[in-house]
Amino acid sequence: MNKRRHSTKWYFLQMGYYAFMILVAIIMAFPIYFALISSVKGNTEIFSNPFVPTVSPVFENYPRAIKTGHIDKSFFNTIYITLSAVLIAMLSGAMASYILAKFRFRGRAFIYVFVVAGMMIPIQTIIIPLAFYLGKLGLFDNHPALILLFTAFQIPMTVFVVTGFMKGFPHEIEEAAVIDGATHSRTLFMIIIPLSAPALVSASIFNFINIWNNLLFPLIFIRSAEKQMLALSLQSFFAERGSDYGGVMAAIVISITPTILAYVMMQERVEMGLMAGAVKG
Amino acid sequence: MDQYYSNKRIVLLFLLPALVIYVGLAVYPIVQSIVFSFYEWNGLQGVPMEYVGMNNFGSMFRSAKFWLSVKNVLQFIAVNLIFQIIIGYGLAVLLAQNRPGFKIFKTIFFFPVVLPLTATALLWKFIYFPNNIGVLNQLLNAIGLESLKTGWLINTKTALNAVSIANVWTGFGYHMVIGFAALSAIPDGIMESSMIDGATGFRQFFSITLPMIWESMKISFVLLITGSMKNFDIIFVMTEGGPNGATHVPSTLMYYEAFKYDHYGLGSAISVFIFVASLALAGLTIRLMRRESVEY
Amino acid sequence: MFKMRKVLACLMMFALLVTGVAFAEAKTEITILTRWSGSDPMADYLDNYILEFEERHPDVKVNNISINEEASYNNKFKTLVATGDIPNVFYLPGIASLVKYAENGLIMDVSVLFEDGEWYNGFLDGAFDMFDFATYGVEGVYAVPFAATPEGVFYNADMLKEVGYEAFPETMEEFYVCMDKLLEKGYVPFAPGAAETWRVGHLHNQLLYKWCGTSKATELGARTAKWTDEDVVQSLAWLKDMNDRGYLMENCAGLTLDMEKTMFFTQQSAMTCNGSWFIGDITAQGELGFDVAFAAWPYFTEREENKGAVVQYPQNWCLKGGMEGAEYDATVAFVKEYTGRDNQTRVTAEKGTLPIRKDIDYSGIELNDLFMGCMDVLNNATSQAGDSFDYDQLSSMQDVTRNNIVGMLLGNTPEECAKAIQDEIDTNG
Repeated sequence: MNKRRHSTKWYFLQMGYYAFMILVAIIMAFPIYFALISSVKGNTEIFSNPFVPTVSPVFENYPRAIKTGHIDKSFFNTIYITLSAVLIAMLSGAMASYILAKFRFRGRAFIYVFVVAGMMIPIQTIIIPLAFYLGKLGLFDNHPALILLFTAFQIPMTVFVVTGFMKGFPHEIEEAAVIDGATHSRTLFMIIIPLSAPALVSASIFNFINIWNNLLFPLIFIRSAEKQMLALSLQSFFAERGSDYGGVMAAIVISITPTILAYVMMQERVEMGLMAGAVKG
Repeated sequence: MDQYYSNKRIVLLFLLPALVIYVGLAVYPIVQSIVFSFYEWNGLQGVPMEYVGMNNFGSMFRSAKFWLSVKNVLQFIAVNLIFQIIIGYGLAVLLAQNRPGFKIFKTIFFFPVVLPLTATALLWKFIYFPNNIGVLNQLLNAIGLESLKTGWLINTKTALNAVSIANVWTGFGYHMVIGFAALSAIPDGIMESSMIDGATGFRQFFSITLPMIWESMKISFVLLITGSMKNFDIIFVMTEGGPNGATHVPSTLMYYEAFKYDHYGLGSAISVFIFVASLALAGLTIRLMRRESVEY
Repeated sequence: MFKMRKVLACLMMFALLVTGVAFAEAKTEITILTRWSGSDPMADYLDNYILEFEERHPDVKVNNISINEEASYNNKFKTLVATGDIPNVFYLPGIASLVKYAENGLIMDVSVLFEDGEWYNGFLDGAFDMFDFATYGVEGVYAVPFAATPEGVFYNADMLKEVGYEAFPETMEEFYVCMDKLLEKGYVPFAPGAAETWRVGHLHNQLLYKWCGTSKATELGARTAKWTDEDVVQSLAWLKDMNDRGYLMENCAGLTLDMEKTMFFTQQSAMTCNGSWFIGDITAQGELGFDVAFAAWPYFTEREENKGAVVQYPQNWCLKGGMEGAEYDATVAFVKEYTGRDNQTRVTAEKGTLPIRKDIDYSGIELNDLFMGCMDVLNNATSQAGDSFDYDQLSSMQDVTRNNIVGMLLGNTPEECAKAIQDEIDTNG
């Protein structure tokens, strides 16, 4: 911040900072390294020599991973389902949050608690009732149904995070627009949603990861292999009397690549959103 | 503006999409599962359910296994809350100094969050393997602390904390991101003026920074408490509640009762408990953390 | 207002999509749920069998919803049963655990199929006995076995030679001496991957039946014997004794199954107690660098009457109850053709597993020593039983027995272990 000449102490602090951050980075990046080196090993080598790169890599793990786990198909299914659910949750969540944060009507507090309480639902418990219900409606093996199902369980958390954020907005930010004659939806989409970007993105990252890694819903509600999702594909390497760890690691490497790329890209968005947010002050 | 904020039609229209999806697909089934908790059912279609009143709750509260699982989950919550907040927000503060390269660090620190549990669990199993197989024990050998070596996941004294630490490692990145976002939103001017006032280091953190990010921390606290309360995956994958039941938490216990031992009623009773307990804990947290958040 | 209508319209479209109706199929559809999918060694065989079955029966479509991973399988199966959507053919290993499905008419009494003598008479003698539920008060036979899986000891023959054993010890006394010699040479006799609790459950099954006889399992299930009975406690004590002497690797409760295999294949442990399915693992390893052989678990000289007690785990398919017409025909054909002579011969030839039939045509099949070893054990068996809990109708017994056996290896006494298991029975009736 202050542009003075740097003292020796400053250099030591700087070195300490980077030494510490690099150490943490190594610990955090370790699993990626582990997944990468394991993805070209056989089971015996993974277990006898887990942390050292192999001298005789078996690249066949990758084609086998794709074939065994049907990764090619499940990959696109997962992207389509996850993005749709994240978007619907973001949109419907933002609309509801705006109302819950700013509007005055009877029962507001109740509706807020009612929606946010959904965060506490342990999803294992509702599987049987849900299966009854969706089975009766003939909604097994149906992507749109699965998307709405995921959305339903991401709405509470989205509303919780976004409402809290919107409550901090002073009324003045809408006032000018309203006086100019903007409708409610115009105000929401042109002013409120852009200003809420940091909260919306934080919630969406959380939602994205939750859906991407969710096992139980696709397991129960998707029947055919060509409609299956990625997280379940990873399970296909664990068999009754032993597992294919090389295969599962190859599948993991394939499946986390887009998540990490998406995060790196989303991160840019967060920062843009933050800048937009900073203007308001 | 009053008129703008009290338009009934808009209130209804904007709330409708979220409420329809949420009530239809999340609330309806949870109500059903609350109803289940008053019945005895063996999970076979065609076998009638038998109304047993509060019996399921009675046998739940009488079970020693259940109380052990409650104790375990409280410990799990405590460890996760303390470490995820300290590590997550600590790193956020370091990152928010915006030194060159912070973006790369931030991305790398987030890796464990995006990793599928399958990979995380396997990695930690290699770390915790007993004897001289596991990395942790090898590390202890290397630094001359052989006496501390143990079978981390099979020693009833260490198993739960070992899983908790793995969960901390998996989850804190998310809170780091929340914290970072909150810190970045603090206008530079505030920090600079406080510096001019002579506030430095820790004092600056506690008197200026902390109040500014309090709202975000509240979110982290609530997410951590509810998330840890219903956490199922990592314990199930790493220990399956073992050794011999020592790391069961209510959610794993519920799974075993409902899905393995065919006691749907008892399983539902446990999930009602999880639901009510997390509501209560989250409510309590919000109440305890209520304080003036700083407007700027 | 306009924009918002668009948004709402989009949401409505999704809702409409949700209600899309599937096309009606003219073919008879049957659903199969097994553990043979993904990386399971039998997955490709099943896929291929289904393709060929559909060619032979052009009016049948087989939906294979198999899933190999255990918890996923369990979740899926329990949800299907709870919602009344039971698969036509499913794999649910067990005996007493099937009784409640039989009682409620959810699975089929397969004894009506026995009229087909050509199919029925070719099965190994007594192959269906386990699934006759008369002892549980339900008339009928409720599953069709599809493979034989005797269990014994796979051992590193080179290591045993090194300590002076050309043949595997026949009695427990000799076995103890042998294991002491292995320890002296620095080899761990067993390194069971007991983090997967069935690994030690299986060890205890061996000791239980060699000490008390296979009838003990049925007696425990029928409540005419107790876990706290002296002889049952003694069977637990033998396992504890083996552990205390270091025959089981220290802290084995923290090892996984794949670690156990690795220890065996990299010559760090001398033996593994496994069923005939392990032959597939050995072949998959390729060149091992040492000889593996198979032998029956040794017997106790003071209990010579149990010498021929063999552990064999049920490998069985259940058929959905209450089927009629084309669905019934297709389902029955699927199971009968799989367990029939032609297909069993083919499984044996291609996968090296043990057939459930005696009328196999072995000409043209190359049989290795391990296969022959397993067949010998099976042929010399005087009595057979599966897991001790297979005979118990209490569904928690699988976890309770195995968890408590692990608890015993971690420090509890055999008496405490037996009491904890018996307590579960007493509290749940």
